[in-house]
Amino acid sequence: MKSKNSNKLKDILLPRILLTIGILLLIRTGTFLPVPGIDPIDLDCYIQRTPVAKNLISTFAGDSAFVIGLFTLNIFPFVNATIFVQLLIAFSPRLAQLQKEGDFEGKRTISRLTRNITLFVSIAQSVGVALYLRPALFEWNILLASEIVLWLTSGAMIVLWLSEIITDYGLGNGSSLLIYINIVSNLPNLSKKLLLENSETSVFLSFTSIIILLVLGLASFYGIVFLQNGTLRIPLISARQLNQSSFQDRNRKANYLPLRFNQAGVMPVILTTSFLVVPRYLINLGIFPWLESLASFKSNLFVQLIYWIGYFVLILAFSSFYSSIVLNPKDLSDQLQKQAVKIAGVRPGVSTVLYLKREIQRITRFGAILLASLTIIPNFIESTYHLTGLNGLSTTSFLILGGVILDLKREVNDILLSDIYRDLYQ
Amino acid sequence: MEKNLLKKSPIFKKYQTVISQINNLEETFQMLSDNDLRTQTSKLKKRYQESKNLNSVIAESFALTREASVRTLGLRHFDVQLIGGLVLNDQKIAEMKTGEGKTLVATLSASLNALTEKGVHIITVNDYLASRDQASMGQIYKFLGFQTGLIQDDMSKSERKQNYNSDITYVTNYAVTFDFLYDNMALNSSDVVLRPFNYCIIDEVDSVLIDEAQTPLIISNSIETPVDKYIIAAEITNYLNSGVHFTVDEKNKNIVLTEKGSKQIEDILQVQDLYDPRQPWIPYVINAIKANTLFLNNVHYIIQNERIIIVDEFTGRIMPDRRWGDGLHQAIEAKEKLPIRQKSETAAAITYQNFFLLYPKLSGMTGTGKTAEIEFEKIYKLSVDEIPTARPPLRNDLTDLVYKDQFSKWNAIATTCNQISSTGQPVLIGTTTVEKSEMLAELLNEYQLSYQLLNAKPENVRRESEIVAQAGKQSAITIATNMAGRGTDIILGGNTSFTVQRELYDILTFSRNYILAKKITIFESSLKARFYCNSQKFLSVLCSVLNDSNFLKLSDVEILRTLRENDKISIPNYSYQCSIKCLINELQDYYKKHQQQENKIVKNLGGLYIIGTERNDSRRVDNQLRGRCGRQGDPGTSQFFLSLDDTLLRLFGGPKIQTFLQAQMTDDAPLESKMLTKSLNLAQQRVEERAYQQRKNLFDYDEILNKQRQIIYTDRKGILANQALEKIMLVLGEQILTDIVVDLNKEKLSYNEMITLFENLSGKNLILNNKDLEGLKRYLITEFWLIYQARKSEFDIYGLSIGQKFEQGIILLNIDQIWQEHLQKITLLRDAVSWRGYGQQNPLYEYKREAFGMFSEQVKVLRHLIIYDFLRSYIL
Repeated sequence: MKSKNSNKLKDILLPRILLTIGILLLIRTGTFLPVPGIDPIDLDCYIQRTPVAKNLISTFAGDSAFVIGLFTLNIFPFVNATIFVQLLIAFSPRLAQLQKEGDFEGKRTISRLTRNITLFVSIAQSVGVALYLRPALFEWNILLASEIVLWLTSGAMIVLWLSEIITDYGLGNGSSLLIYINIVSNLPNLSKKLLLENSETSVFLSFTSIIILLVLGLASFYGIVFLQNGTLRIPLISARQLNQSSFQDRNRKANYLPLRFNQAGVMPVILTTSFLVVPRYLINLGIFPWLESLASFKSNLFVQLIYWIGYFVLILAFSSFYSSIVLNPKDLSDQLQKQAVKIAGVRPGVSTVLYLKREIQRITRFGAILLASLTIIPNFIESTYHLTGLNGLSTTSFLILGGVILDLKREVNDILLSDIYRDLYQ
Repeated sequence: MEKNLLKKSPIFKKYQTVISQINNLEETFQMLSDNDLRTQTSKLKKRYQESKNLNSVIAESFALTREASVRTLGLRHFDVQLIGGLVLNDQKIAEMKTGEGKTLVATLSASLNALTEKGVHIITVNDYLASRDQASMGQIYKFLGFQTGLIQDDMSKSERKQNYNSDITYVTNYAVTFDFLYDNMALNSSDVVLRPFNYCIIDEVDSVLIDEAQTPLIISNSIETPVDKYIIAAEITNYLNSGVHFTVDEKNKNIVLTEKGSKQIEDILQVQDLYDPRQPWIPYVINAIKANTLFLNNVHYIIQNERIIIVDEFTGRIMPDRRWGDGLHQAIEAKEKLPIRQKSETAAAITYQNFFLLYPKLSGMTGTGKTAEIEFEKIYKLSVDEIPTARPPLRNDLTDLVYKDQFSKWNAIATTCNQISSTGQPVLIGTTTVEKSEMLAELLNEYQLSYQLLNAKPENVRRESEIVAQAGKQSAITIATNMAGRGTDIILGGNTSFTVQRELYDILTFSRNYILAKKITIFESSLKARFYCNSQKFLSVLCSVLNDSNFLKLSDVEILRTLRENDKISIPNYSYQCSIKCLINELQDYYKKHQQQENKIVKNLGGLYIIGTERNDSRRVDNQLRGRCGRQGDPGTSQFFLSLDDTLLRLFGGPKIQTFLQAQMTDDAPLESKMLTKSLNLAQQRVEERAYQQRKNLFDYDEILNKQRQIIYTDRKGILANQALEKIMLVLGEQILTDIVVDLNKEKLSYNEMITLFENLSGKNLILNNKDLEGLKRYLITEFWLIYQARKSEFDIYGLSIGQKFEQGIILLNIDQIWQEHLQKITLLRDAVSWRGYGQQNPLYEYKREAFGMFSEQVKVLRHLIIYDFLRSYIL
């Protein structure tokens, strides 16, 4: 019986796993296929010379790639486009209505919108790349630039298409998996950098720092899983339930409303970092020289403290803003009333609205604090132990890593559940 | 003409070889005698037994059926009909336009599959069609040596069993589904009426599998209900006012209590919380308010014999067997101060979607299926094949006319009616609701046009088939709602059989009354003039009938029935039946010429003109309306009249269309534009998609319950058939004990608890030494075996195999009860799971997870119950 069961599973899971891995490999090789027309030697020289370019390119491609590959832009235009569309939904009632209805037509419109915006973003980003390469390459002209734009944009759109294939026919969500791959592929480089840069200080310190790193890493992961999956269950009672004849049936605890701690996902972190990155970016570009003097105080604890406080506050603000959009207490209370369901122990109507508001505020605050602390941890380590290079392990990455793995687990569980009745057959 | 159309279609190419084979065999079979043909069937059966492959006998079987049809009904299957039969055999849906003779096509595939001797079901939409089709096509089957069966509503179990045992059974969809559910609640194997499923052909498959797919079929059991709460709740409503204490949502039939209302009720009842699980009042109160405000006497229900009987809003028919659920029926009974009957709980349920998937081989036919192809593929894995028509279609579909508002639209419809019927062309107008059809009737009254009204109201239902059949007469105007009159062909020029029946009915009743009154022959009276146009033969036969004493005893209704069932009677019991047959034939011959003339005239006028008054919720229904004209190559026209404030356009057209068109149209003139038609189609598509999504959603949820149901029902069938009962009981017992030991190991149970459990279960005291786990398990199991055998032999003292019967009964009853409880819990789970979406959890996934958990729990409880019942019962 058991072997028959696992056989069936293999039939369903194996092709999906193979497909996913195959496509991911394809995309990975694609990032190393060079775009024709860019002389790699020239590029290499230039990058070694200018630290600015080095930083920027490493932000783009996830690992300091010395090759502008076909799939360099990867899934990032799509990610940016989704963020942009989410913002649009928050501000446009028409789009919000479409998303709430959740029917085919609405979903199709929104995904079409996202794809179009992806196209624009990828064109914009490829133009940016082309312009940056101007000082790097020997022969640079409009023709070359437009070629680069064409190659990179098509690369980005192909990646988008491949990620959708993964979502439909493979295992897991395509775009999240790609981001995950980006992060994970960065890890070896990162650890190498970490070890290299920090072995200059005493070996003993480096050893302890590794331990601390591991412990904090595990703690962060635990925190992230807690944040992502943790829910506050508000018990509900429905009129239908009360219609049952036996007290036991009436008192069942299966009916509840789960509220996530982290309603907004990675959005607050992204927005906060984008906000706070602005001054640093400006400094790097050297536009405002008076900011340079501030930057020299970077090692000053005072400035750091301001930075952290700002971080916390911003994350809290964004989280509450997002949760108020996603979970509207009044809406929720109305829905409950319409279906003749109420929260156990709370009278329907105004009291429910107040109760919900209070609960939502509580968990949002808790979630935001947790999120902020998780984000601060790498920075904290950096400044206290004078380790560098932890920037790559931002909390966003952690959140995404955790989220992707949890989603995968859920999907595999789903497939298992659909098939689980087979072994009950005799 | 026929050959050209046929050769071009891709379907023909696929089946070309088989078709030519069948055509070649035709000559051979023509030469055989009747008896030889009958033996062919047994030869084919033998061949099938040897090869186990139906494909080897297709050509012969089809050619045989064709020949049989020629000899019994006089109808020869066209080549396109052969293709239809092949498609049906291939487990697909055959789309055949109206009038192509779908019923005849089914015979091909049915007789082929009947060779397997496993039974074929042909599903129709209602009882009348089932009996009509069985009567007509049954002759072919009988000729070939197959048994045919028919299931009607009022048949008993043994009759049903007999009919299902025949080779080919005609049955309605709800009858067969309910029989399936009843079979799975049977306590004796003699009560089981259905054979294992084999092959099923569904007529009007789009109506059964799509339109009716969402309705679950439920068998309920009544359970104990405390009645006082309903009465008190009904009293309370006297103290509550609408708007102050509660709000009414008419559209969703919902009541929402306000703060004030809840407080008021709590004060009256002196309770703290209406939702307290120990003393719940809220469902009763809400039902009582609903009963007071939303459900009114003589509108939604009527009171008859101290009972509340539900009235269907749409058709106006009463439904004596249905009750509202969730306590609403009881609340209404309390309101009307009638005795409150027991509440009912679902004991078995299934949806059509999942029921028809139980058949290993499934196929269907319809006139309109291509538009819903995706749904058929996704849910039923049935693809749709379009069968070309025998004669090229001459129907003219005009572009839609859009009017500014309802008023101008209806006026335009009435004027067009007037125009068209004055030329003599018959008109058929299809409306969406009963009210609209009656409104149109009023409008036509003003224009002083004579018309026939056909809607689902009971007054009009009786003459349904007759009205529809006569809709093709010259200058006929017929108003029909969409659902009315399905399955009856509209023949241009009118249908003679109905005219003949009516005429003969009048003559016979009139003459009989006359004779009974005056006791002289009709010829010797002044009424001679009435019969001047009938032939001599007719008059002589009429005389003989009127002299027959048996005939004179018949009442009006019986005469009518004799006339109606005339062609079903193959062996007449009374002599007057033969004579009546003769009379009918005479009259038919007489009218035939007349009818052929009319037919030509109407054809020249352009055939039937169909007017649609509104776009329906799906293109399928629109196409069904259009398809009523233009059958078998007849000419016909169809045109839809729409207005900007039609429901469909208003809700789904989008605001842009409204403003754009309002600007364009200043007067009553219609707007004919292709762009408009495109956006209308789009709006319709959106509605279809929404409906499809709902159905798919329902299907996804029901799939899980379906899997569980299959497990339970398969087990139950096995037990009903008395298979290995003892082994099952032993296995159950061992499983319980293993679970106990495992729990003990995991320390979920203490040692003493385990002992108590075992003693409760078996009724025997345990003496245990401290054994290790393995030894403990073995010891417990051995104990259980001994106890079980002891009990079994105890029962057997009372009679032979009483123990076995008892076992069987216990298991079956417990299974039924557990399943009933499980159904209740699953329904609650459905509701509960919908709230999980707020936590960004996928409701379907949660449902799957928890449903599985629930099911395993229930199975565990079932085991305990069975073993406990068996080990702890005593015969008094």
